[in-house]
Amino acid sequence: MKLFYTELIKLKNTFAFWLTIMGALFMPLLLLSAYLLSTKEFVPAPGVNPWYEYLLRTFNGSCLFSTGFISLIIGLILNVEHKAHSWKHLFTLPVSRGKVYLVKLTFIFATIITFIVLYFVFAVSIGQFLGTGKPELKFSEFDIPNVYMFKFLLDFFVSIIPMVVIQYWISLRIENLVTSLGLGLLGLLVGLLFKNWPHIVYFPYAMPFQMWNYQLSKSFVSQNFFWINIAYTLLFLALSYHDFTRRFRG
Amino acid sequence: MQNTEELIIETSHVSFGFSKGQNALNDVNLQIPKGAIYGFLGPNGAGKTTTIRILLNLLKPSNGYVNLFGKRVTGTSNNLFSRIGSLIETPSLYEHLTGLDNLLITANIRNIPKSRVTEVLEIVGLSSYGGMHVKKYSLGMKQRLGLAIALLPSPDLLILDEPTNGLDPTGIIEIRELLLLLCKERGVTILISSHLLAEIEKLVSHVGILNQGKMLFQGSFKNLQQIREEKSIIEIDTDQNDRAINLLLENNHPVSQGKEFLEVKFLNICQLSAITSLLVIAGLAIYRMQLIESSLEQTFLSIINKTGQP
Ligand SMILES: Nc1ncnc2c1ncn2[C@@H]1O[C@H](COP(=O)(O)OP(=O)(O)OP(=O)(O)O)[C@@H](O)[C@H]1O
Ligand SMILES: [Mg+2]
Repeated sequence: MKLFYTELIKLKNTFAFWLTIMGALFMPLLLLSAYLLSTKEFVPAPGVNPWYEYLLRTFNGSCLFSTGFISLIIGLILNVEHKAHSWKHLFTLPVSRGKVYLVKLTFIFATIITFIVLYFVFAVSIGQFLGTGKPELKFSEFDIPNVYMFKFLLDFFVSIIPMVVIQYWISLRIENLVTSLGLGLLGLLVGLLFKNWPHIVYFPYAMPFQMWNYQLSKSFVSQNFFWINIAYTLLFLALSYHDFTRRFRG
Repeated sequence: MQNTEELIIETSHVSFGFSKGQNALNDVNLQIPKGAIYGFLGPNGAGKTTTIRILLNLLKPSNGYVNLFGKRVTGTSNNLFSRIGSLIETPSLYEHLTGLDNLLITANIRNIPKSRVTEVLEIVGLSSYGGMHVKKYSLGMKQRLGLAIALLPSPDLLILDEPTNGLDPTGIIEIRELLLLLCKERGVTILISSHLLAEIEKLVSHVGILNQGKMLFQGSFKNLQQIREEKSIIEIDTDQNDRAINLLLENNHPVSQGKEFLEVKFLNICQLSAITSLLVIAGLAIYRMQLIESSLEQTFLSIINKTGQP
């Protein structure tokens, strides 16, 4: 726990910290301005719950932008160590390398979860704000489809895990932030461009884009994506753990 | 019986190469007894930092092994490091944080109470700068903070790689006094690397000299001084140097013709008067009679240069 706390200290005054908050605000604010500027286009047909469309836009925004932000957050968190040349110091403290690896990865996941949760808290709050500010949008007349939202959150989180582990490894090994981020964005771009190619599910960076236009009926978990993700996660965890504890010189 | 030869650091036939076929270290055998202040000397690129990285388990030797506190260092001997404070090259500092936060990070990882943090800040003379961001520190202040981090665990062994890098003369003296105090009062064993013998000669009890990955000298500081004395000569010049040579040889003074003057190997101070009276009685006019002692620095350089040439 103390180790985890030190990670938090390291994040003080960093861009990574602000990005977690500002990045989470970015898409919801974009949606807000769209709904405010052209309110008429978003008025739902009678009897239709506007939350479904609104959430779908939020989901798609999440697929498209969050993945980039997440790569950047990972890169920035590891850059804190690279910039301080602190691996050599960390490795001479009475903690095992394995622990250093796991604490850092756990911290990164905690940051990413914070980011995603903030993103959805902001999005839902903005929807509710629109409900009172623009009654014609009918946000206040319907309930938020909670099941739909949580199902997406779960599936989306599962879909990014392999990518996060790979990006963690890359950012550990490549000190230059531009290079590690560039590789991540390249992977994401390929995943996005070829998202309709049947075999693309075997490409870890493509997973988040398989969630595009997410529907409840077409649940992600039921398909073999789930197993592919688990396999990739375990594989890259094992490889990067071995590399970090045995070969990494810092 | 007290074991005076307890070795805190011992390396046995340690070799290491960054690339195949080129050894940065070759058969290095360090022996650092308990309570010693060991000066680890060598020019740029000698392999000091590489040796220190191997001691701290940051690099694996391709050959040989390392013992710390009498225990073999392996991939999993992290608990040994709770007794060791170290500073390698430039200190690892998070520049976006304050000096205090930097110390707190290491203190937390090492499970050290917060009170110790203020203590070490005071020891290195940074008390009033604890709340300042490290990016605003001067080079010397960063070096002091690095030293404070090394001192945090009240270590039994301090490994310092050029700790006085960037310090002003007062700073250097302060650090020297601090290290002497730690050694005397707490029995801390200290390994300190440097390029300059002059910088650490007032501090060290033992010296190791490394060049091109090979140990050229290792022993107590007194040993080094003996070598220096053995290199001292008496320069002599007279009106009849040929006769002087014969006279000196007849009386068992090893003499040779130097570049300008005759040179006699210096043995002890009585030699001077003996030679003088010998030459005067023989009727020679003495133009010059001078004891030339080589400095420690020259001794150090001559040790390094012996292997410097291929
Ligand atoms: N990361 C590295 N990769 C390849 N070679 C290296 C690396 N680090 C050091 N070397 C080589 O190993 C040799 C020893 O370097 P080392 O840093 O140990 O010297 P040093 O005695 O600490 O020198 P200095 O006094 O300049 O700090 C040098 O020839 C150097 O070129
Ligand atoms: Mg060095």
